[in-house]
Amino acid sequence: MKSWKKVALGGASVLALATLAACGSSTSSSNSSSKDASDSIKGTVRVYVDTQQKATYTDVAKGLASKYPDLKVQIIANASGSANAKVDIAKDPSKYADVFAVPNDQLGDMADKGYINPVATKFASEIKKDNSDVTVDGVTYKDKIYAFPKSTESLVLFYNKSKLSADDVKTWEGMTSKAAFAANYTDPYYSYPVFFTAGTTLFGKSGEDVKATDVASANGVKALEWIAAQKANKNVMQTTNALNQLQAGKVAAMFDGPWDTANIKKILGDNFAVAPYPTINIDGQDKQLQSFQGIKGFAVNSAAKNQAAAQTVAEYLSSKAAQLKLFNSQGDVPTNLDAQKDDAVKNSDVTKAIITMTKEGNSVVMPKLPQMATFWNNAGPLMNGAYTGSIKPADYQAQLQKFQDSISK
Amino acid sequence: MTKKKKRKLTESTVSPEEKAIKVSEVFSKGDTTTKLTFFVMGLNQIKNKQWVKGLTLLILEIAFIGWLLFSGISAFSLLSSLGPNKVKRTITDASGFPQTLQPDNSVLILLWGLIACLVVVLFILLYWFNYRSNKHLYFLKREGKAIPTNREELASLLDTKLYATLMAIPLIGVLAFTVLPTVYMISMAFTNYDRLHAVAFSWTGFQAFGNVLTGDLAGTFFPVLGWTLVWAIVATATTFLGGVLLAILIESTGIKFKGFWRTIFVIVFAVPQFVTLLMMAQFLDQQGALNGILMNLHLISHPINFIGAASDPMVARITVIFVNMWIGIPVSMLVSTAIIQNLPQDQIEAARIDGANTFNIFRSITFPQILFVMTPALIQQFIGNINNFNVIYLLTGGWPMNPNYQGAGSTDLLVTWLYNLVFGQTQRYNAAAVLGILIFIVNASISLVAYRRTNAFKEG
Repeated sequence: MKSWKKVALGGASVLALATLAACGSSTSSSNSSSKDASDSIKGTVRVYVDTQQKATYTDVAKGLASKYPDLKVQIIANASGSANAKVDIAKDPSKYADVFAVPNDQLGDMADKGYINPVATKFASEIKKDNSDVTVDGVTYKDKIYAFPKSTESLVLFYNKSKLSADDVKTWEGMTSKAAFAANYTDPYYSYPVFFTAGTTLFGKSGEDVKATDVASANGVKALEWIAAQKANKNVMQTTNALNQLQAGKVAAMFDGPWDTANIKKILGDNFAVAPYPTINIDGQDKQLQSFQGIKGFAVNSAAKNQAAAQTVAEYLSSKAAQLKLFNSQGDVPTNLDAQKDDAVKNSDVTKAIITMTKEGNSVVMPKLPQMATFWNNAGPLMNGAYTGSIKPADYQAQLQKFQDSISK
Repeated sequence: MTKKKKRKLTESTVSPEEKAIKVSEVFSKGDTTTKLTFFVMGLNQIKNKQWVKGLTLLILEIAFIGWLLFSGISAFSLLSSLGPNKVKRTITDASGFPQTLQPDNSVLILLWGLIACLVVVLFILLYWFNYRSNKHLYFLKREGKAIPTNREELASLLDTKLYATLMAIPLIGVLAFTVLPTVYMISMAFTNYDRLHAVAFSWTGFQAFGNVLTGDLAGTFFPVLGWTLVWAIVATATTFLGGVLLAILIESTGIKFKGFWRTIFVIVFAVPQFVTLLMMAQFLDQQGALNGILMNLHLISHPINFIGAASDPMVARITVIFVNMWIGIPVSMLVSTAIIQNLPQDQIEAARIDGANTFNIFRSITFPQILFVMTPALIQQFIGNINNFNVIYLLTGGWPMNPNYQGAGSTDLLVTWLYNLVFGQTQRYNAAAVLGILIFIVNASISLVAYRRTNAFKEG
């Protein structure tokens, strides 16, 4: 009798302990790491960059290895691209890269969710010193800098020199009276800035004021009217694949970003030309057509084990030398003011046009608020509706109000 | 009938006398060990030398109580709030680098909480098993019968109780891979899990249902539901009728090279659907081949926008239905060919002698017979079309854009809209879960009603 009791109790308690040990570990999780200070630049830092930039950054990262012998930097090509960082990191922040390239408009959303850490104070003051105010604003969210800026981008006008002259492309009317233009009213990135030209703001002047959008106004209606009027313009072609149209010779000009420069050069050859945006005639006045300005930077994953190492790597990969290397290999426009003064940068037509476009009044920094998600969903159908005529002019005000309400909460 | 017989067979091991024993009798008349076994599982079995059964029960009970004390109770209390800490904080560590302290991860808390619920349910079942076994031992003793030894008990698992052994693995699989994920997804519909509450979310009851049915998504839900049903009906009807007519045409006397014609349509069917759809999307593009051909023939002066972002909703919807006919008719044709070839010819001969023409024969004999056989398949096709993700997503991507919708286009079905809500910009997981539940309700009610009304069901 007694022996089986002992066996039973012994066996049971062993099993119970094992079960407890297995269950107990799953509940606790905390983010405390890197206790000691200065000499903590070691370990492995994983960096996601866009596939075509991998070679450049692998080259840049070699400099780090000589500086910090204990530090191992892995440059990894992010197959789904930096544009999807916001969605990808949410799947499992601890599996995402420690440092990753990201467009500035996603910073607010990631910062609100706690996926990224702000830049340490010592690096923040460096960023402020090295870059223009617009750039710094672009990576700042709620008074904290959330990314190390590495390049800036803005759309510019690419055109065919043999069909359009430099004078023609100064005004929209001049340009579209001579040759066809590929427009895309389904993609707010390309066409929403008409609203800025018409005098409205998106989330206020700062781009961070949720309630301050004012598109449901007389100015907003004017912008929609201008878009609707383009339907009657025979030389404006609505297309979602402007590059194809340019290649087929059906259009002579298009708006595009620096990332397509190489393709467009290949298509146009000697006729390649680039210029800042033209003016458009809105409400009887010629006004500079604006563009969204984006800043790409390196953000630091808040789940990264070693914050000091991660931030140091991000800082190094966005330094002046790194920006210039990226310019030489990819044509990405530097944000670093010193780098912008480099001869090669200054002498490039595309870069010149982009730097002109990034000046105050020519472009608006892409807002960083999480509400931009709704903006992207709803702005396209709104403009497309005005262009195709499925939204009648009488409904413009009501539709704009609906749009404004949907993005203001 | 067969079902009832089977049940009796499995229950025949428990005699009526044993069944009549009440809980109170086992507890009051049983010996001390029997009584104790109500609290300490497996005691009575161990005492009667059924070592394996008794020890397993005892160990599982101790493990359960231990788990409950150290992990289970906290999992339950967290489940009620989905984590009390909802705020993210940023601090600066000793070396001057910022650290982010995340709020409680509700996704994991919800998962562990549901697993805990499942464990409790399993334990209750185990306790029931313990009671039954205890009662059986009491009964055997009362009647003075022999108590099965440990070896006999184990042997019975491979013999008379083989069903229990065989069912164990599928049962665990069903619980882990079907029940748990389903309950997990359903429970998301009652939270505010979305883009703004991606890490720390809370229970919000039926608020997400309110959003979909009367709130900001209602303006999208009802029109999309309407189009989904219209699409499912039209798509099913067109492919069915087209397939039947095509099959009859090929089967009718006077048509030569029947095998050749059939092969042509089978080839259409054999190309993977997504290849066909992506190719069609290219072909129908505003700058695609079809518009090029039509313009070169001077049939149209401007390219027609069939399925683009800026196309006319009506044009796009009709295009989608036509493309679906092209890929769906060969399938129906194959099935109805088989039925037509098996139709009794004497009936048709008799009708023809009575003076019925081909149309009359089709309407009164051939078609009703095909319909009779194919109705269950049609219902299945209808449900499949309600959830026909491929055709919409690969062909139009939901386009044309619709300014009155939230996150959906004019050709989006409920299921592609659900996909947009999850993987699109807005990440409204709770709304997507609600949509999933609503789609299930629509599908289940339609198929239940439809199946019960089919002749195949009534006569089968």
